[in-house]
Amino acid sequence: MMEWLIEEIFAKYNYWVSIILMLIGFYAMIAKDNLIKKVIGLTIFQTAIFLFFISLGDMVGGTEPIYIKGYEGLYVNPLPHVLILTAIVVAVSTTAVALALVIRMYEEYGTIEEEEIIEKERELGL
Amino acid sequence: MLSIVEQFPILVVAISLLSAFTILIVGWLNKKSCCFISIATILVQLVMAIFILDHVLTKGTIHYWLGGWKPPWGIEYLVDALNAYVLVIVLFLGLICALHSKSSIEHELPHKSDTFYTIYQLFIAGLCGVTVTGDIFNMYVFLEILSISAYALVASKGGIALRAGFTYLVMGSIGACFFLLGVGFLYVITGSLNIHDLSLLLPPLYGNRVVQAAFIFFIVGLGIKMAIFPLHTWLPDAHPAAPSPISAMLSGIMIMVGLYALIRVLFTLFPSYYNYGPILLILGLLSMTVANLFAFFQKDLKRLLAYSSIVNMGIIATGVGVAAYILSTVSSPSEAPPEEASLAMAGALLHVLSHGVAKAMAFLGSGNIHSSINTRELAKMGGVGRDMPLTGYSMSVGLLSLLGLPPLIGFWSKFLIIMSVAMAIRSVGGVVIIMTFFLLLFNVIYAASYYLRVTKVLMMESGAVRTHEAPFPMVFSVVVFALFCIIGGLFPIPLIRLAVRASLIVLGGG
Repeated sequence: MMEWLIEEIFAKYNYWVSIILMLIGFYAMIAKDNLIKKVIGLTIFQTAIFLFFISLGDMVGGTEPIYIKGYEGLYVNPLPHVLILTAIVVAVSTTAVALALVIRMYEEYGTIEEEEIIEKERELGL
Repeated sequence: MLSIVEQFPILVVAISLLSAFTILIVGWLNKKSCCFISIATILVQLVMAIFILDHVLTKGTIHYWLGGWKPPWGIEYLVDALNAYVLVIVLFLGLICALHSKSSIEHELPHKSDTFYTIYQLFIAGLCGVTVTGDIFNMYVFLEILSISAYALVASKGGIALRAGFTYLVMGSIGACFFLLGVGFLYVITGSLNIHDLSLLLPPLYGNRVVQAAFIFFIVGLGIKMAIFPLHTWLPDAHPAAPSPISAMLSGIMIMVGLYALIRVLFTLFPSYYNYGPILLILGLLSMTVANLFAFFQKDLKRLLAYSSIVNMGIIATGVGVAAYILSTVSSPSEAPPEEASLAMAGALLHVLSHGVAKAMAFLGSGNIHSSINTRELAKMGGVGRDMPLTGYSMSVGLLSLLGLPPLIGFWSKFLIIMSVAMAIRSVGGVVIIMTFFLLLFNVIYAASYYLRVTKVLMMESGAVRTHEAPFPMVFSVVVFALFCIIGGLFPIPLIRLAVRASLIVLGGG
């Protein structure tokens, strides 16, 4: 039992952390009624995936991936980090659009609770 | 040294991005010129795409290495018959919708034409990028460029469109994140991101659980992007809420680009080891049956058309699924794919074109009607086609093509799919194929009920306020699509031959 715990959970804690974060974000996106909380959930969800990628590239005892003459040791894999730089830009733009939409909805309906917005839409006969 | 045509794949994407920002700057000075820059750019892109298609068909696949870095290290743009075919459809629809938006944007989004065309160009850049790229992470980035611009465009009308856009954003981002996770899993296990390279590295690893998880993530992530049942719930809200040229692009080609990405990923990376044929088949059958039932009861024209997009996506997914299913029954992968499989795939790819043109036209036509009598409700449209004859007749042609009436192009694509299933009953057999055949037939006939109802309302009933024809660019764009449906239906052989070429690329017999 103890061995299993160590092997499957503690030794791979980085994966577990990102899975738990991902599910927290996913839950917030599905279950929360408040639109800002949904956006926060989305951000947590995306960040969890970024953490997963970044922990892939890391290596215990590795240095920066810079070419030095004569150095024969380990260095971390830079590619996942570069990918995540791009993915962060994508995530920022998604969040920006999402927040812009929330602001516009607040201007239009005066609330950011989804249920209330649906109710107001019904009243307006849309 | 690369020839000039071999440089076009990168240029198609780059000039679209460049023109997006040019439009934004020019828009400060003169809003009227934005539309012409956009139309000119897409026209240039379309010409390039036609050259690419010609080059691919006569001289073979184009490989373009960004910055001269050889794959698998650098990003590769790989264009074969399938990409080039989808690229030409994307840009053809994009050009006509840009023409249509010249007038309709003044009506639907007054004073916003500069930002509209900026985002529209980004959207086109995303669509082209997904199609030409041969690198799976690059595909994710372009999918996001196109999705983010689609969220903004969907919500651009304000009001009820805001919530539709937000729902679409949340669901679309989940889909994209799943896709990214799938990419990550494949990278962990192989250390490569190039699709062609992955297809060489993956086969010994098919039994691995990480690869299986990646496979599921790709299906779910792209399933959301292409709106297949049960992941379709964002579509009936998002597509009608957008301005009509955007609805036309979303329904006509955006979900199809999602499907293209799925075909590319599944057929290249997981060929026939994972039996995804039945999955696609069953999802396709379910989405067409469910959406058909919903479409019948819609009172809003654009909403009805949105449900009909899900139906057609189901038909195409079924065609692809049948092809994969038949392929998986063949014992040795080295021989040429069976005739039924390539027919089913060709039918599905031809349906991408025929549905794209006809559905885009139906949405543009609904935009024309909206600009004239300011309503989307079918009940208030009685006989509007008599006051707007060109729009009315063109829309009837489009709806009949969606229905699959013989001399129109929609007939040929549905015919190829149904025929391939009928042939497969004899050669492959089994409950799945027989069930597919009957459900497909039922749905194709059932769809007539609402297409004919819309045609009848537009052309025969009465009750709409008297009106006049829409402005010239709007009428011109629907008429072009109507002529394409008729001419493509009368002379289908070159189009079918093109679709067969593209399908052989996918099925690996080219």
